[in-house]
Amino acid sequence: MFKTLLIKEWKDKALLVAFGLGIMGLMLASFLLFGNDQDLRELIPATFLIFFFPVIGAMLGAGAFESEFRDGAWTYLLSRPVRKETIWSAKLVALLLILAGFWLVFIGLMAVVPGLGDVIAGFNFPKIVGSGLSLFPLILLSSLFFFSIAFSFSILTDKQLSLVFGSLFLGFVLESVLFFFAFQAVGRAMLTHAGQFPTLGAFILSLVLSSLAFLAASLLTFLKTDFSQPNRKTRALAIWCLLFLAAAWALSAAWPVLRPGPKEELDGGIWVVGKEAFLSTNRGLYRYDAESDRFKKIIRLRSEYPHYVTGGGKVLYVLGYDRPEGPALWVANTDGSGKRLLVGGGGWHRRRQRGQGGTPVYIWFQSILLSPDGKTAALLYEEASDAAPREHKTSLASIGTDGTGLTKLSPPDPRTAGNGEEFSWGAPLAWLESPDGLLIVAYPPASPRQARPTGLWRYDLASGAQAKLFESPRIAGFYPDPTGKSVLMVTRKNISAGPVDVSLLDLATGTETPVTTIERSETPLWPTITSIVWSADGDKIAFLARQAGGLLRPAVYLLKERRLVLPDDVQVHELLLWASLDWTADGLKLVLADPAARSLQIMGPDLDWKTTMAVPASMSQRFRARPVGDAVLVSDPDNEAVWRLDLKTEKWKKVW
Amino acid sequence: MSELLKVERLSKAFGRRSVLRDIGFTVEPAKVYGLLGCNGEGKTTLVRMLMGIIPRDAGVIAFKGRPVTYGEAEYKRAIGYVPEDPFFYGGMSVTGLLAFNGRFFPKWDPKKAEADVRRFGLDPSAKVRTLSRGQQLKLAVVAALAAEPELLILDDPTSGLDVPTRREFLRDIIGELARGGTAVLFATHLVHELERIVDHLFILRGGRIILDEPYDKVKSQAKRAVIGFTGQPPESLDIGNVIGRRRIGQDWELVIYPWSEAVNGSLLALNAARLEVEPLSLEDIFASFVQDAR
Repeated sequence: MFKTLLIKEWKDKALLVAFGLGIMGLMLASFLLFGNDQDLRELIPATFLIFFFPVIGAMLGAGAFESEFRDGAWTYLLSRPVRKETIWSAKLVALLLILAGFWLVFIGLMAVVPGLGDVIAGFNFPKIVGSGLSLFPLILLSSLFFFSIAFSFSILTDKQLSLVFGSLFLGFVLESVLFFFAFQAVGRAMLTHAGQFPTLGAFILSLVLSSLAFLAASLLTFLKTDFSQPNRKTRALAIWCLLFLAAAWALSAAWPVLRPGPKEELDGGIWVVGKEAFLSTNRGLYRYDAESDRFKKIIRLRSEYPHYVTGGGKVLYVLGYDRPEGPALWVANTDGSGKRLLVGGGGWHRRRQRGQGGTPVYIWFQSILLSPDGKTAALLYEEASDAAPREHKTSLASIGTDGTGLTKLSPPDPRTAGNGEEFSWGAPLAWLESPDGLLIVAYPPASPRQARPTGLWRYDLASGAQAKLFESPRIAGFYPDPTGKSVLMVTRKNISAGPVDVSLLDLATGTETPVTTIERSETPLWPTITSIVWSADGDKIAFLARQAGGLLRPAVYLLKERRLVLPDDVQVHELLLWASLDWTADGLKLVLADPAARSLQIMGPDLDWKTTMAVPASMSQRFRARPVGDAVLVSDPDNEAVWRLDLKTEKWKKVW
Repeated sequence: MSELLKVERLSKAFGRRSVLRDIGFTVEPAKVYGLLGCNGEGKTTLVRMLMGIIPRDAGVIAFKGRPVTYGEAEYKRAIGYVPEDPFFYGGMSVTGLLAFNGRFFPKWDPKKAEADVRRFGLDPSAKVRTLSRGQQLKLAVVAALAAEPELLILDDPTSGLDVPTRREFLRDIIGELARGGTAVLFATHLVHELERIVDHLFILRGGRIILDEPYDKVKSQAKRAVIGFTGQPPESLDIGNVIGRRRIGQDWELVIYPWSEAVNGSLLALNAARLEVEPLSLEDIFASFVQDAR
């Protein structure tokens, strides 16, 4: 029965298929003839896509019951020994297959006609949506939507022109309304819960569900009503449509909330402050609890990794880069209590348009700092400008972790932060020994091809006094010691070649002491010096330095002795990005994670001894090690695992 | 099984207008049933409900003892249906339509269909939309008969047929079918055509079946009595089972159903100058039953 009805529908629509293929042929001929003209090359397929598929979808749907009306064959068809469901579904499937056939023919043309596929692939969804989704699948989905509307209304009348244009009009209106709600009202409300750009999904879902709603209304009307009672049929279809559409839209609106969130994933490394260790995932921020030997969630999140620093019993973190309200700086106690919004979250997309001067609209997550006592936070942020609403000024600021006293710091260097230049900015680098002493790095303007000068400034938060500690005409990286007395500097004369100088800057005297010079890695992507870590007492610095041939080897600089220790027998192989080095809290052991050897090497402070510990067999090569107390926590993000090595018993235990 | 189709308490209303109420009847194999009713009495509505074309508001339709629900299709394989206006898909040819139709019926006999096409003088290659209404009716009859139905439902189709075809259809085809065991339910308001073939009568009036009797019984028990009086005739007559009456000058003309000895005695007791009793034609019987309604 189904097949018989299917074939009948195909025969009925032979003329329409020929018409569609003819139009497609015309498009193809035009594209081949005029494809050399850059404008026409895009205009022809774009016009075709925008008009052809929605119109052909509406025409196919509108003709679903045309022959029953035109020939008066309702009585004949409905008195055949075939279920109404079969009649309806045969018509639907037959027409959908024709529509899909048009899609496939066009996709085939995209594959075989030179240039056509590339042009179509270039039609992307507007960037404001924040997605690189191609418009092509959305147009195909739209054609299905228009088809569904026309199909459902085709049981009411055989007036084809009215059906086609009515369906197109209603379809465009509904699509516009759905788009507006998905990206405005619903999207704004749901983004908070659902992570990055779920509204595109909600819009697509609303189109699919609306299509299904029209089809379901059509089916129920066809099954339940009397074909000879047009008014009742119209009323029934209207009621079913409204009910199903309401359900479809409600479900679409609820989807961003109801859908399962992304799988919890580790954000790579572990952050250790003193005896406390933290890790973050896309679901939350966790603190390692040594007593229970497990990580406890202290901040609950959804679908976004936090950027955080810790200190003084507090955790300072930034959230909201994927949200319309923009990033915001939060603080909480390290047990998760006392969560407080400090600044931001004012909607930087909107602020950018409206230009409400002076309001922080963007927070640089790399540049947040917490004072050792946990009472003050420093941050680098962008603020809107009244004078030039679309231009943002970058400013340094401090704020109390109780939420009071947001103070914009005057630029330490008139050439640097705050002047709105693209290549200039400054950032809080470290807290100095005094609670009010802030170390700031400032990069004055320079063209991208010039070596960028770098300045180090001390800023006294209490008095506002500032003093330049150091200025280098060269590119420099700064690694302050935990006690705030000195800074390890890595400088290079040339951005792309030449040796790298490692020196020590005494912040009290401004004296620069050379540590070593390392030849530049032959491979630009390989760092010449990496994993620079200070011991907690500020007496020792360890780092991994590149050797000729590409191997890394650990080095320790002993400040008191002004001596660099470079063992010959410890080398790290290729997996440089994942090799890591860190001191134990007491500064008596140096832990080197060697992914190539799949081992941890525990070394003495002078690199005078070493113990090699093989990592568990299940661990991937991308592991990182962080000593905490008498243990080493090793994160293995590929396996979503964290292992603990007890340094006393030398036993491993999986703690995540 | 003696019951092929059984209908109980079937009702249908369009909006507030009740069309059929508590309809109940039984159809047995090898009999021809006449479903008589004036225009607008609900014959087509009843037939469409039987065929599952439109939903019923209440009631039970059972085919071969099994109740059928609205939307069910299988029982229709054993039913041939010739509607009042048998419109088909106009783009199909006669042969194409019969082939299409045949796929729905397991007992479809293509040779019979082909023979009937010739018998009714239809052009096998003609497009359906080029056929006249009468030719489309013939095509509907061909399509219904080739399915070898156990029940043939005809919804007032003969008015569109030419006289020779109508006679052949009524005399030969319906007779053949009934002799072959097929039940025929013939809904019509043109009752004279049924007279020679009908076995059982249903008369629809006011949304109800007011007569459900074998035609022989109706025929034998329906009488017209003409009572003539010499002087002024009485204003009313107290005679039982009168279903129709009219006064013509000094005569009363009564239609009596069912006729009985008691009625006969009552008539004789009037001591009228003239008493004539005669049998009625089916048309007269039908007219008498539906007189008030018209």
